[in-house]
Amino acid sequence: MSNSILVTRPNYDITTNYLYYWTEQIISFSQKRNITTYDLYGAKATRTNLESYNTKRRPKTIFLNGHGSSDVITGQDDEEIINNADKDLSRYQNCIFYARSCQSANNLGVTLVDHGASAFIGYTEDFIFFRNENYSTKPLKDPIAKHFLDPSNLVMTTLIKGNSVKEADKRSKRSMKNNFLKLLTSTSSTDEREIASFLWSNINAQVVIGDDRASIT
Amino acid sequence: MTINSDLQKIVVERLRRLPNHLQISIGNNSYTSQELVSSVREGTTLGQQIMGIQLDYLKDLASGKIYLDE
Repeated sequence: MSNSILVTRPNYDITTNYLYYWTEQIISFSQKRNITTYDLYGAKATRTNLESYNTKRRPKTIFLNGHGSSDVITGQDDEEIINNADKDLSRYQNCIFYARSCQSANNLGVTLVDHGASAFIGYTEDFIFFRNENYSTKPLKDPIAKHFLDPSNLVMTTLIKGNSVKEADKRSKRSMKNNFLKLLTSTSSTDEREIASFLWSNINAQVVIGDDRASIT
Repeated sequence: MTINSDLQKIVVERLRRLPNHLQISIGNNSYTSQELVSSVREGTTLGQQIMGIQLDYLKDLASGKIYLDE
């Protein structure tokens, strides 16, 4: 198993487009730290590529972005790239997962850990973010989406720095909580205050399954 | 008047404050604030999900949980 990262980031609707661009920051961060990063972007985010890269490159960490459910995470154009019912989930033995996807911690995360994955960070409810439609063509500059996506990126940057899964989850939640409290303050505009309740949902839905002492190094 | 219909009114009023330029990505879709309001009023699956999120938040706000440290 190599000390590398495998990323999937489909890009075919407004939600995946935002995740696609926000994930670029993680790829740059990882590469600057000389960590080999396999980037399955856009049409490359397929089951075949995920399984092939995992088999041949044996990445320690897998960062999945995309739509999902309790059992499934999808890649480009809604292709199921990993499913709770897959017979060979033990192929991901010793991997650390972060799934920026809806609900996949309910079943898929549990099953992956049952089959030997070290840890799975994900969400038991839908991963939610608000965005300002005036920034649709420049997602990284969207100040509303930033409240939600910056803290989720922190999961990966904390892991890349060599910290444990537990620490990654903790720092991410602390960042969400800080943003949440900022949103509730009187200095926030009314619109920002109303989105705080949805950030609160993400805080409560983010969970760690498996060995929270696991780390990339 | 049931608790549910009271909650529905509260949630609708909260969502109506969201400006039109904000959209939410939730589940496999993206919605405008007006669509969120309609979904809650009509009691769709999305509307019920939004009601649940808001109810959890209001409970945690009332209990003070949101101000507790980790």
